[in-house]
Formats: sequence, C-alpha cells, structure tokens
Amino acid sequence: MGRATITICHAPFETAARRHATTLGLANLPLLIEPAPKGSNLTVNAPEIAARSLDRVIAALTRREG
Amino acid sequence: MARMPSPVVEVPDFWDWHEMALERGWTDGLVVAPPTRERVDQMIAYLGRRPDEVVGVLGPKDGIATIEQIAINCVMAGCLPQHAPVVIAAVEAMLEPEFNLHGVQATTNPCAPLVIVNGPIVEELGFHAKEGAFGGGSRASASVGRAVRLILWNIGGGIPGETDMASQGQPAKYLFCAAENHEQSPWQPLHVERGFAESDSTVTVFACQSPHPLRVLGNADRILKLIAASLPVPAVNMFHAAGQFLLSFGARPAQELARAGYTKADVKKWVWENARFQVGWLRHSGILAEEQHMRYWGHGEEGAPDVATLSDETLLPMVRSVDMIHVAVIGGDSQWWMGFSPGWGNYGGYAVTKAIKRPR
Repeated sequence: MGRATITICHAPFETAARRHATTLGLANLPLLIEPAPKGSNLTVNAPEIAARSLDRVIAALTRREG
Repeated sequence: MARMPSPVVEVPDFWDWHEMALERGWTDGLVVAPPTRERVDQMIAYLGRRPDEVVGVLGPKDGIATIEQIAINCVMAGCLPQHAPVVIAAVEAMLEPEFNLHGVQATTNPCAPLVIVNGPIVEELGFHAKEGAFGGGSRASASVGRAVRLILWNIGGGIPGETDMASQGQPAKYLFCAAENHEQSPWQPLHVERGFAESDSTVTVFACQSPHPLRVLGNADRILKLIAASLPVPAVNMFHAAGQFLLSFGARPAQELARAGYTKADVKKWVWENARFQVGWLRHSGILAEEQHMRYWGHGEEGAPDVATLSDETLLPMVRSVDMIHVAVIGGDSQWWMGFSPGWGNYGGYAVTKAIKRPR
C-alpha cells in the first residue's frame, strides 16, 4: 500500500516535478501546484494558501487507487 | 558488471553531426565536437577507470554519470584526456548535499556552477588565471568549463523552460571556469584556506552569478570602503535569501590590500562587518515591506530579525557569518578590477572543494 503522499510545488517547477516523479517510477504522484510569488499576489499569506489547498490535499491523500 | 558502451551512430560529415546533435538535444546550441569511439576510449584509457563506474546521479533528470558518459561530454567539449580528472572532481563536488545540484539546476535564479581551479595543475595545463581569467583564451579553462556545462545538460537534464526555470539565465550557463592567480596573489590560495596542501590540485565549485565588475582604485582604506558601499544593494540576492557570495579580486587590489597588512581573513571580516544594509535608508526609500518575499532574509533564513522593529541606525549583515564570504584572486594586475558574485542564497549552491585525482 505505501504511505499516502502529496507533493507541493510552485507552478514554474511543475514540469520538472512531473518528470522527476516519472523518473522515480511515480508518474501518477499527486502534485499540488501553487503559484510562485508574483507582484500581484504578494499579500497572499501562508495560512490563506494552506486553507485554500486543504480540500485538494485531503482528496489526494484519501483517494482510492483503481 | 559487463561493460555496456554507448551506441555508435554513423554520420557522413561534421555538419551532419552538428545537425544531429542539435536535433537530438545533445547540445545547448553551441557547436560540439563529435565524440568518436576512438577519442572516448582514449580518454577512458588515460583515466584508467572502468567505463561503467558510476561517479554519481545528477539532477534534475537523475541521469547516471558514469566515467564513459563523462568522457563523452568531455570529448564533445574539446577536452584533452588530461582535463578529464578536473571535470570529474567538479562533478564530485557538485554531488555534495550542500551544493544541492537539483535545486541549482532548476531554480528561477540565474546562478550557474563556477569551477575555480587551484594548485600546480593551473600552470601545468594552462588554465586562465591572469588577464581575462573569466573570458576566453585558454583551452583548459574553456573545455573544462564547457564539459561541466554539457554534463549538466546531457546527464543532469537542466533544460531551459522545462526543468531549468531560471527566468533569464546568464552567459555563464554556457561555461564558467577560471583559476586562481597563484603567481601574483599575495594571499593564501583558496584550496589551502579550505584545508588542502599547497601541492594539491583542486576544484572549488560555487553556484553564483557572473562577476559584477567593481573598479576599486585606491589605497586599502578606499578599496574596502568602495566594496562596502557597492555590495549591499537591496535587490541583490542576499537581501532576501542570505547564503554565500564570492569576491574575486584582480591581483592589483589584492596586492594593495596585502601591502596594508590585510590577509584574506581580515578582508572577509571587514566586509562582513561593514558591507551592511542600512535600515534607515531602506525605510525612507520605501523599499522595506512586510510581505514575505520582499522582507530582509524573508526566504527561510532562521532568526531573521523583524526589520520593522529596528531603529534607523541599525546595520544588517548581507550573510549569516564571515565564513559565508569567499575570497579568491582571479585575474591579472593590469587594473584595479574585482568581481562580486552573489550566490543562490540559503537554498544551496554552497562552495565545495575536491581534490583532482590524476591517474598514476
């Protein structure tokens, strides 16, 4: 079974992350993609980002393989 | 383990080879030499190592850097067999955890691994150390620097816009290799300072930006004050991410500092204590901000002060401690130039030195 896992990465690194996961034999590794800081979203703080991501993290960690 | 040599392809002439190398992504755009079986085998024979010996796994592609794969890239870069041990030492250095090669290759920062060569091999193989040390004119510097880049490209898989997300990159991503000017340096060589014997030959790798040239003409007092006034600008990488930086002195300002009694250690200490961000200036210029990515050391440096609570008179260091500053003498004595190379920050790319192991 293994341990339920999700990997969080900034949007610019999504391609690199997917390729790395594939190299490691984990092509379907769940990735949570977050925007990298930009001038327009600098005021978004960490708790807000975490709250926004929570549902996606729970869904990824509780999904049934099949 | 049985030897598994890389496949051989036939091409009619050099230009067909060049087109094939571009098409298959074996080069970053510059022309590369065809790695013929004969040339690659000569290099492996010189090294006296098994072609399938694994030196390490290079990110972000997790490519396996065998002796044969390294030799292929060395030949493509125009290396002589004698250059290959220098390249291998650089690869070994980049594999150390504090270098964080995967991150160096993938980051949005324009940093690139600089290879600094020290020791008797500098003169023996003709690495560039005096005028134009960071530029062209030396087969050794050019081919070793180019081989390291091709290895990062072909084995490590750092491909711009895909896995290498450097927003702008920098010319040093084509090649970045220089040697310390032992002959004209008044100071202890970099490799001796880092624990090696003077008779050892070494490479030091450090992920950094191209040297920003500073003209530091004058006596020691003025040289140091020019450095203190020129380094701590708020858009420099250390403002938000600390890490390490390199001061590469041309021989002339280094000699002037030494004449006034300054050792390398003295210079580092002086720079650390005096090249500082001024809170009052930052505040009044409107640069200080509360958002994480705009804060002083806001990128994960532990114990970063809350600048908002500090007085205008407070001076903030650029990096955590004196040992996060590197000093080398790179370049000749023809003028008063020096270079300032910010590192990647506290994420890695830290300087690592390895001995060059030459075959007996």
